[in-house]
Amino acid sequence: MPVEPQPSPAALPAAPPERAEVIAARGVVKQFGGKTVVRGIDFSVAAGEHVGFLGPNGAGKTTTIRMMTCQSPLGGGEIRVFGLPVGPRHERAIKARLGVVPQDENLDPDLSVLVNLRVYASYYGIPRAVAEERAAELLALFALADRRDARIDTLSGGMKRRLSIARALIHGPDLLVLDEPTTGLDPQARHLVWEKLRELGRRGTTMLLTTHYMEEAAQLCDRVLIIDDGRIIAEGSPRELVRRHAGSEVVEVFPPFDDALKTQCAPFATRIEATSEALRLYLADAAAMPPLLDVLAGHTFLRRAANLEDVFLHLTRRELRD
Amino acid sequence: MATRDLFGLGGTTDERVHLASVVRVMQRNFLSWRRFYRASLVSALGDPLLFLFGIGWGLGRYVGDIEGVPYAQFVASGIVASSVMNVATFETTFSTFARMREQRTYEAIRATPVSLTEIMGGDVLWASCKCLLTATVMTLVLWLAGLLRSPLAIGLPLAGFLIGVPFGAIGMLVTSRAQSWDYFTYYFTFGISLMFYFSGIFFPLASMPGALQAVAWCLPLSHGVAITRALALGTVGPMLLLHAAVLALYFALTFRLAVRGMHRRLVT
Repeated sequence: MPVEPQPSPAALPAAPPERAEVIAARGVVKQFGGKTVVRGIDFSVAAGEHVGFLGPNGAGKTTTIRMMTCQSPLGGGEIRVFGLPVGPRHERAIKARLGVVPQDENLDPDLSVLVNLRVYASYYGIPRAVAEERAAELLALFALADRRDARIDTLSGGMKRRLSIARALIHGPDLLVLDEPTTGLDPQARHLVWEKLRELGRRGTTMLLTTHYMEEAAQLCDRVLIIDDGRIIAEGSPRELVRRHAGSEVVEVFPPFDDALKTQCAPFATRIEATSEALRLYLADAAAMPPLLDVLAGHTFLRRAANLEDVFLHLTRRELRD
Repeated sequence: MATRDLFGLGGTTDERVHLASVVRVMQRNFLSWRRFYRASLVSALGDPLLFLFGIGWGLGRYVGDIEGVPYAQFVASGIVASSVMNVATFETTFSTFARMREQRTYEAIRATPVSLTEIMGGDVLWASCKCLLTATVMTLVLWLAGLLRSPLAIGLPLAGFLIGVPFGAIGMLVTSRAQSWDYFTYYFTFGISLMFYFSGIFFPLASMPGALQAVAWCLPLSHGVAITRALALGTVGPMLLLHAAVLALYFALTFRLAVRGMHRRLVT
């Protein structure tokens, strides 16, 4: 029998002393039957970072994740995970250090909660005693300890998702990859998942997640890559992105309003968007507000802080026109 | 020692097969099966035994002896092989398809260091373990019913396991091509049913016209029946090795094709 492949020390990257590069992707491309889904993506994730791929459905997020986790062959370019190029040669070594939470739940329906973890641990060759100990810890962390003997179909959506995350952590991976971790969950369940993921973040777990929820990206990620139509179109911390692409505040003026108002507001805003629903004014800073209030006298309007959704809608406006 | 291009996947994946991983997948299937083992055993044993006692004893009284063997014993010695075929086939067609499509078990395991080929190997190994179980219980029942002539019949459980391997692989090949549940109907009608009737379970292949005989000997079940019959009736000879070799060849060819088909399908 061949021996289990080990990552060779020589193949590890010459990492900066304090923050090792966990993922380095360059010029990543993927085509499915003549259709290009990923069109040249470059990104990197450092140890301890929490990075989010934010993008609409079909943007290429899941495809990129699948290539990165060695589940789909690379269509072009290069991805290094833990310094190892993805591909047949290092597939097992990479997978051994990755935890993957899939978009669609794929727990074992005929096994109990605990046995799901036990069986998954066996795929990593974890000794039974170690697996039991880790499973107990994870069940406690994910508030599933009292459901350890429950069958999967008796669990709620939120519990299943938490169990999927626990399962992905059973072997103590160096990188946790989550594909839309809260899609389809109700608000309570979603907040509980966020709380658990933040807890993992505090413990230093490196995370890469995809989402199309702005709030999720803002809550969980140090750094967000906005991906649209197979390309990264913006990158930065949620705060930076908001400042750069949406300013500090947004004023939404509700109908009725006319073009004259738009002209009057123009000097105060860095950008104005008019839709049938609202006239949206993006302000660089709050100082523009007092004089603007005079202009808006008599109109119904809402003043709020700019958020990631403004950035997203602005940058991916092409999508909205489709 | 496995080679790098064992399955002809063109360097798209790590083709080495770790036996430990294969066994872990088999264990997963065993744990999952424990929940349904009663229903599973009833269907695996009920059908062949009812069939055997109905045809073997009922019809046997009018048929008399075949090749100097009472008809019930003649049929019983072949039914062991066909039940093993059925058990292995169900496991790697319907059960594997469910694991692959409905339960997404394949996807879940593929995220770990266990490879797709090892998952498929684990499914085939598990199918063979079920065959071992079926063959063991059948051997016991047939022995109690006085339908086994030779002490060599003690080898039937092991034979059941080994015969299960190629049938598991053939089922896997069908599954790798299946786009829907309906697809299996073709294989069950033109593969499984055909083999059931024309592999020498109910009449000796030698009684068929020469050309048909040659065709019948191409069917894997004919060789399975020849093996179980030799053990049950104590007619073991060097031909046993040839039958085993044909089954081994069936396994090697179909499993390789199944692995390639499944990779084309899932590794995209």
